[in-house]
Amino acid sequence: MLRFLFQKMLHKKWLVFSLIIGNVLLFSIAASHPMYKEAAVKRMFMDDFTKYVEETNEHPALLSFHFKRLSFLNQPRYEELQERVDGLPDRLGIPYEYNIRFRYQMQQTAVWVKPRSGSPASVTLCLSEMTDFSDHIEIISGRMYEPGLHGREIETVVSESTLIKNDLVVGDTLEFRYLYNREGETLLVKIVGVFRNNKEADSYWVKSPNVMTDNLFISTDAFEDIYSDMNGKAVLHCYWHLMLDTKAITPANRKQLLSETNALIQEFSAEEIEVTKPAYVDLLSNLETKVNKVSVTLLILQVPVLVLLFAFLFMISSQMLSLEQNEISMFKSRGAGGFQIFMLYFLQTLIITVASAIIGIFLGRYMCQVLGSSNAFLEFVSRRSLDVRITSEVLAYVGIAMLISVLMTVLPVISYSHVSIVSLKRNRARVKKSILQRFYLDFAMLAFGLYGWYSFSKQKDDLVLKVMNGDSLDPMLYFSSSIFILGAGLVALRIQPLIVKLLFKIGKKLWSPQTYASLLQIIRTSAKQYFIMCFLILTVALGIFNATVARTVLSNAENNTEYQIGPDVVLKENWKDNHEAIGTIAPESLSYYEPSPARFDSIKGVVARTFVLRERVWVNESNYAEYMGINSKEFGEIVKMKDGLLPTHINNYLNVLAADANAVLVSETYRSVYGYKLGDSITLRAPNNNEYTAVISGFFSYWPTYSATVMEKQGDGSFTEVNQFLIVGNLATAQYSWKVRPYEVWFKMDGSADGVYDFIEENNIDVVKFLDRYEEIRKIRNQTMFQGTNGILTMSFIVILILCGAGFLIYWILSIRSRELLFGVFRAMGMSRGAILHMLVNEQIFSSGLAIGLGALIGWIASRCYVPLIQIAYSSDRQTLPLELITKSSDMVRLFVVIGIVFVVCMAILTRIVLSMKITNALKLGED
Amino acid sequence: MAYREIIMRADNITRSFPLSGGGKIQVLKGISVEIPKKSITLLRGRSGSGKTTLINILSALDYPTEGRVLFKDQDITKMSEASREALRRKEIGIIFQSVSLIPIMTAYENVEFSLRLAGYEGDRKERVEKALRLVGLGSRMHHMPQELSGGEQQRVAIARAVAHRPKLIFADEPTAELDSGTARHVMKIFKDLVEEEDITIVMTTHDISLMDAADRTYVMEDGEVVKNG
Repeated sequence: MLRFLFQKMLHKKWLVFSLIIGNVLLFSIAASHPMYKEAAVKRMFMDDFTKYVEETNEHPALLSFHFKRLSFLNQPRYEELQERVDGLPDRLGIPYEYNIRFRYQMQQTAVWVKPRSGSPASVTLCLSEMTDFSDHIEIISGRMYEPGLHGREIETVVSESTLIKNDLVVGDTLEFRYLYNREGETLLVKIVGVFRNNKEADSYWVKSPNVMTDNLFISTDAFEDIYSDMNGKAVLHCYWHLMLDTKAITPANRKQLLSETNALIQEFSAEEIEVTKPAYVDLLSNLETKVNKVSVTLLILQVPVLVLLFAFLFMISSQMLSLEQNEISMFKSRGAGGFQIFMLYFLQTLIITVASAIIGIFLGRYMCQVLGSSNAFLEFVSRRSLDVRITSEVLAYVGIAMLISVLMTVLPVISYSHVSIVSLKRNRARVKKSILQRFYLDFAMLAFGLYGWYSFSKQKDDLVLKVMNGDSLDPMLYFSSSIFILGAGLVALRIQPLIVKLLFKIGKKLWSPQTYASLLQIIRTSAKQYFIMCFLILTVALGIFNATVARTVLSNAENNTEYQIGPDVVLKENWKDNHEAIGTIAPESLSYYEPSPARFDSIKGVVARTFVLRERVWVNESNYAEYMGINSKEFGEIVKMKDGLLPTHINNYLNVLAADANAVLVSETYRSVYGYKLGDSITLRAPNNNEYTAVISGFFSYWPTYSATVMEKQGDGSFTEVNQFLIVGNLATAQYSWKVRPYEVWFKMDGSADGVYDFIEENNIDVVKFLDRYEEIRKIRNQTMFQGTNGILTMSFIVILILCGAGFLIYWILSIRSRELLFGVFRAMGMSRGAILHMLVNEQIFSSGLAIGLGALIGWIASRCYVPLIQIAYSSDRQTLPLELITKSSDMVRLFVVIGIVFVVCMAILTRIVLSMKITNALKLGED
Repeated sequence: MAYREIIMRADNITRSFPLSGGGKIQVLKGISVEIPKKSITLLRGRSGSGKTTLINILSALDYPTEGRVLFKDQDITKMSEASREALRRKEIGIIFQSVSLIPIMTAYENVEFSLRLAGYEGDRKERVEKALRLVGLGSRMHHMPQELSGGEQQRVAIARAVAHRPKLIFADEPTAELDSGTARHVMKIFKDLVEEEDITIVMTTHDISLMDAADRTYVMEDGEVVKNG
């Protein structure tokens, strides 16, 4: 049976090959989802950890335990605690980076053995010891202590700040009046050196040595010698600082880590041990909603392509079965049971599936790397690679995909295995309508999709609020877009034969024989072509839809960011003022010293720069507004406004401003909220109470950086829309009336902001505000949400291209092969080879071509309807500009070039088949 | 037999096919036949005697290795492929052993299609209906081939072969898959065609019982004509 199976598979090698391709793609996508999710989530919280360290300089996984009443009376308790702390990494499942014990005794009074003139009579200091102390310090003066207690003498090192605060010098010896050695003598502590941390950023130092101003560090054995002899009289503080290795925190163990951490915090607190909550508790919990959002979004984005893959497998499997129909019927007639036939195909599928799964998992791994390096749709950059691992979750996903794949391929067998040769011939005569069409399920799906679109459009504002609250976008939205595409595709399949029929009718008398025959072929075999047509329509529609989603979502986010920043780089420095001289910081009395503007002219990479004054002003004694003072000529050279935002070019607005020193342009909100009109005079009062009167010379709805409304979070956590007011005036007028006040410098750069960074560093600029458009764009592209979206859509697009090509080719080649006899008849009746090729081209144009056209149309419509809703998931909080759907012609070109190549390859193969076809041989085929 | 004009003449035809293992097999070994106009010529022989190969060569589907085929004093083996195709479209009708109707077309459309190919100028509908009535299928002309019986399908094939008024019809074992009653009916149609439509028919058969219907018979054996008359 196996031998037979392999022969059979070899015979149908192209179909088997297609099945393997389909399966490999399926499994690699199935495997890549959990792998990518894990890697992306991990990257997300590693980024959060890094950010936390940058902002707070603290270790994000620091667990501190403070045991306040350590004395040698309760040594067993101490030992028990030590043991428990040591066991924590095991309990949490995360190894530690540092496990530091820090013990000290509260301030003890000490006096100088040899008092120096001017030194205080006594000081209060703590004797301290820390695990691995010597590994983390360097001595900057004097030497390291000798460990141990020598008679009544101990050596100590101190930090510079301790030295300074307590007026100590190296070589001083202090006598601690209430600390004794075994012999009952008071202790003498000699300062032998000054230390500092040997690395700039060392998480070992939970508190920097600089802030520990009272600690004398002695060796651990000296410390224990002293206090074990004190009969429990001294009460010590003991800290355990456990720093977990954040690299070991994974998406998989993060939930357990969270719950265990919370449990142990409660446990220790109940025993009167102070525990500091590690930062990761909040960081990881906050991540949860983000992770869900990303994970749901990514999964939903993958669903359509998964469905396509299943459809592809089903199609190829059915195709294979219909070719083997004769053989199956023959087995049947010779007494093979349905079960045996079923087993044959089951075995075949199993071999293909298992082989594909092995390849698929590794391809999936590779896909993840590719995903991680996707920068925009169909764009890749080299970037730190993702930490991709094959986990049990991955295997589970692949397993489920395998199960469905086997079902998809084997299911058609069941119906075929019941067919004997007699009923087969009977069935061939009948052309069935698909179930979908018979029950009008296509219309139902289309209606469902449209209803989804309609209801979501109506609650668009709610969607925005939901997303702002951190929810992921309703999966139903994506779902309804997919159903819409599917439904519309199926409805298009009803339309396609109608179009062909219409064409056929119109020219029935006129068509050349080959056109006549090809149109008739399409009309009469439309049921047979149903699946491939459906497949083509869906791939093209989805391809276009995906491309539009990816492009639009990213470019929308980028456009909004660019708009909100204004120029390429914004820099505002802290200006010196006269507050020290006048002794007040009241704004009305302050005046500023303008730093030399000439400094900006030497910055590398600057194409142009201008000054922009941004001030909160009191307008007409009635309302506050944002004021923007500009130099209209320079401003026009630096900012770019997208077309269509303003009714005319922004330069026309700037010209109005330039024409009159007192002219101002104000936001449309002034008209709608306060009823201001053109020509109205308004008084503008700056924070220093200087005023000028301006004339309203124009209104605008959009201006670089300006949003007409913003969503403000209320106390109860809800959001409300708040109107924004902006007044744009002449900088010179403002400076003349209000005196020179700190302004922003706006730069136009030649592609990189590096020059400005260097400038800031070299000149030690005290930066109040700094915005870098390039950096912001890079950040957006690096966001897991965008990156995953781009990656997955790119991957889907590529898979779609492969499937589209393979499906098309396989279908046509098989269709031609099965019609060789017919071509023989045509040839015998005197049709030339050219006429037959012409016929095939016609068929391709009117079936595949039409399907591709309809698919493109559906993709376009779906994009129009759903992309504005879907993009909400990505950028609702920063959405200022009207959404612009981006369909890059290059994507379409790619799609159609691939389809074109497939078409050409297909035609080349067909031409070869037709040319090499011998009429007499073809006819002989028919005699079998 | 009265003298009749010769419409097609084959002189000394040989045909050999290369064998897959090298060497070749000679199927026709110098055959000469003459086809008189307005007659039924029978090529009889066992299977493997070379009659199908011969008829393929005569009907411009295949080329002889050597020899020539004259149709209206032109050597069709020397004609261009395009002219041979035109010949097949307009002057020759072919009926195959197994049913060779175009499965996506109704009986009517099958017949009409040959008229389209031949560039038939007259009223196609009238001509198609006439051809179908001639073979006794006037009432079932809008059925698909799969809905017709084997005999009916063969009769559609005949109607299709004659509809465009070819001069010559080649039929390769047209009755092989039919029962004897139907076979006789087909032969009767052939006879009527010769009478009414001014057509010449060349057919192969291995059935001796059809001999009396023929005006001339060539008996073939192993690639040679062993008897004619």
